[in-house]
Amino acid sequence: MTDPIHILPALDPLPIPAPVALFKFLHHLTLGLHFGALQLLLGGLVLATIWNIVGHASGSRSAIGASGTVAKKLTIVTTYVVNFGVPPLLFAQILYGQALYTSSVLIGAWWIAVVFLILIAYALLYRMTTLADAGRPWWHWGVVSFTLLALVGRVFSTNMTLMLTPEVWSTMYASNPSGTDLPPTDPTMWPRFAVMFLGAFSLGALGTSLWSHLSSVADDARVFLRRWSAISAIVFLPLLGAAGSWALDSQPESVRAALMGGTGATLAYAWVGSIALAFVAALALLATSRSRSALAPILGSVAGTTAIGLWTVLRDMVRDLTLAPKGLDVWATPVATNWVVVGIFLFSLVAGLVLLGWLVSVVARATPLEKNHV
Amino acid sequence: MNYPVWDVPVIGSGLVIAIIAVIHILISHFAIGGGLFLAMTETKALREGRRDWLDRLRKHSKFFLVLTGVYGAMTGVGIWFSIGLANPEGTSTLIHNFVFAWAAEWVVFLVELSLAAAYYYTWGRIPDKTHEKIGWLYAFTSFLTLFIINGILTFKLTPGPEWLALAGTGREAEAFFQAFFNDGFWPSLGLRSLACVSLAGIWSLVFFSRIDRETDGEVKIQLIRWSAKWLLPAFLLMPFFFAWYLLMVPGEHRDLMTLGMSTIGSGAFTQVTRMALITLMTTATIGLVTYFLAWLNPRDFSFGHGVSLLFLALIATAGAEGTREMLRKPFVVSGYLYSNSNRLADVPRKNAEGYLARSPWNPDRGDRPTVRTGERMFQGQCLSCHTVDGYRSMRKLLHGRDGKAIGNILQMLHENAPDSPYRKFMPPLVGTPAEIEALRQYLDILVNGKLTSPIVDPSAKAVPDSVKVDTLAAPAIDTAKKDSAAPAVRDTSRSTAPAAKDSARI
Ligand code: HEC
Ligand code: HEM
Repeated sequence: MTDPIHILPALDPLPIPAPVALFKFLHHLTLGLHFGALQLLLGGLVLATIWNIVGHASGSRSAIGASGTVAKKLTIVTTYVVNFGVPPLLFAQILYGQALYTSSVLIGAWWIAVVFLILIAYALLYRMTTLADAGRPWWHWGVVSFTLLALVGRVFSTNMTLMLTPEVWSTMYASNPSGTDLPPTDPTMWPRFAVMFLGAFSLGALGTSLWSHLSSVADDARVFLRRWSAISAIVFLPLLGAAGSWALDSQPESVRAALMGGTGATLAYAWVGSIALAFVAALALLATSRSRSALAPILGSVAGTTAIGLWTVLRDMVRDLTLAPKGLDVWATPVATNWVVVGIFLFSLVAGLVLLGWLVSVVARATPLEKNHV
Repeated sequence: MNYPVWDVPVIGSGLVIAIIAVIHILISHFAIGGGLFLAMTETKALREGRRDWLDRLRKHSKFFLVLTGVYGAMTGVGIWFSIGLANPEGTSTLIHNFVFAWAAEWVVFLVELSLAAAYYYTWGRIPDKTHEKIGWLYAFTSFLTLFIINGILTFKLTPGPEWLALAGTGREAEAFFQAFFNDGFWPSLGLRSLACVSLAGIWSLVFFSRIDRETDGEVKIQLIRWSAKWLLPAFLLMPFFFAWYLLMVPGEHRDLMTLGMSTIGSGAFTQVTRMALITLMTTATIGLVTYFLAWLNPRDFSFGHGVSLLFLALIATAGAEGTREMLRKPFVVSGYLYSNSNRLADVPRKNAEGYLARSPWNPDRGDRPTVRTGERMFQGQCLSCHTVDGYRSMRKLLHGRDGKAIGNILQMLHENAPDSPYRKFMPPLVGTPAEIEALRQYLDILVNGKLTSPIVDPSAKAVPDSVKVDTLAAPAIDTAKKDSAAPAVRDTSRSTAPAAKDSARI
């Protein structure tokens, strides 16, 4: 095997236009939002689909009502999954381009397929909304849509782990320059995939329980939604914890050792703590499923958001620990900042948030939808 | 070859981008012009008390939301994914330069989408004035997205002397604003804005064509006529902005077009000229169709008519974008980065030390170049514009040439003389004589099935894969090989990046 240093493409000769720390901050912030929306989407989609099957099989109005409530929110959630995915990819390309462009090309056909898979899954969600409005069963589309999204997730997890293993690239490229193979899996791939998906069925489920508070939700549907979101979370949270420990165990020895000490360990314990808190919230939600109190859903969502944020930081640490000895030390990237440009961007960010805030206030004051307007 | 080259059989990676991009442009430009359309139409309807228009407009805005929020956004992501695959080096250059422009673009787009959603969901549920305001904010933010992306797109053809002077010094960021507001910026913004306004008209014609002519004849006449008017500005102003745009195109790129014009008579005009003519003719047809079918007979304007217009617009868009892309050949960033990811400044170095000397994808590292090296040369330097058997097929283009003739072409490409006919659309072929010989043999075998002429350079005994290497083994003496074995050259790590930059400046 060649010296690892010679297997990475050369760094772009242009320095990056802001300090590494700023890019990292923006990356984590937006990726955390992407993951949050993602877990809501995947969790909501699976729960709503199952409820729709159960509802139409047993004629349960509460199940059908709850499934419709969640399903109708999924298109807008997808909008944000996609949109919050954009900036972290941009910043990851800036920070880890040498690795990320390469791994993307090596699975090129799959990588470009992601776009079309999402497009179809998205269109199916709109179709589901239409059917749900008409009170007709739509779960078959839910199954298809989820399958496509799971495949998308598999491609993402593959790319994000393939970028960490430059030692396999050369052979992969020699055997298939079109990128139509998904590579023999990296041992860290499935555990990472598992964390995202088990997180969806637990943390994402807690998030969906927030929708039980929409004024349009009927009483029986609300109780159903709260109860079954809670049960899903109670079942899957322990599995999520187990997947986390699997993800840690699957790391190469040096990475694991580095993670077990110092900041890594603190973050990992905090992650476990936030999952435990989410578990408590899930129990509380189950116990209060008949009540209208928003306390348990809010607590669960806060714990879930924290867990997602911590996971975002942890997986980034894994990346840096893995790549640094292979010749990509992200903190050594040459920097040449144009602060005026950074300032304009930050201004646009603040202005955008203010505008969004105004928009939310306008929509909140809108008179409720009349039926004939749907 | 720094990044692996994505090999898309038959259509080639460039066409993957093109297909996604044309669809994206058709939708995104509609989103931009359509924002203005919605806002102006609502304002007009409110001022003139046309309540029956508002109902149509509400439905139009739903169509709008789905089309732009789902298909516009996803095809946009699609372009980005595809350029990253087809040209990582170029994408990296643009992102290093403009990451904050893109990030701001994202912020604006996020706000725009949220405004579009709010616009649709609040019809009749908030005061008219507020709703109108959301519409105008939507129009404004969507125009802003065009404004931002336009700076990045025009940079590629006209990066400007300020930026080019700093290129390779590590101080490129200082020229951010000159690079962004480059020579092509304003004329291109004008052209694109006009295209947006016309597309808003065309999509609206499609949408309103479905109004029932029997029951709602009067509204249909009004809305079809109103939509048709949206094509007028483009027909009046396009020529002016187009001329301005051409004026800003750097000389050597414009030559490609004039070269085409002057040879039209002989039927051998270039692809650029062909594309430009297609755009011109379809645009003219769109004008005629709109005038005769929509303006003169609005009541009878059918969905089929609308879709045909849209189809013509698709062709016009493809032609216009194709012209823009072809004009830039053989560069991704004019004067800086060639389409095949070689930097202009690196050419002498790569000729001396070898195209694959620092490449992680060198199959013959430490050995003399073989046909496998030839294949890498082909992938790295030709595949970005050619395919083996499909689009711009290498087999077809080289058909009938034997090994010697192929060698002559490669020599011309390598020398890249000022009067070379290839210079205008193909980048120079870089590499050591041994690497070029390896490419020659690879192409010979590719086209003719076997080597049809003797191996030229004895120092570069390239052998086909099928031939046993030992049988032809000879002491390797070519310089490329020796260089590639030298640690200082082979080292592509970050620690040597400054050194690499030094050599790039020479
Ligand atoms: C920037 C894009 C680009 C790159 C890179 C490129 N070509 Fe071309 N090539 C073209 C275009 C455009 C044509 C004209 C095609 C046509 O007429 O259909 C062409 C034509 C050709 C022809 C036909 C010329 C003739 O006179 O018949 C050959 C041979 C050829 N290319 C070989 C190569 C080889 C070998 C490489 C790699 C070393 C290469 N090209 C790289 C764009 C490119
Ligand atoms: C809607 C369908 C999508 C799904 C199901 C999905 C799923 C995932 C998953 C499972 C991961 C985690 C990978 C891992 O660490 O193992 C991930 C990461 C990521 N996704 Fe998404 N994603 C979707 C859409 C998008 C889009 C459209 C973009 C960008 C335009 C995007 C950008 C990213 C980025 C940048 C990362 C990780 C970046 C990093 O590690 O730095 N995603 N996604």
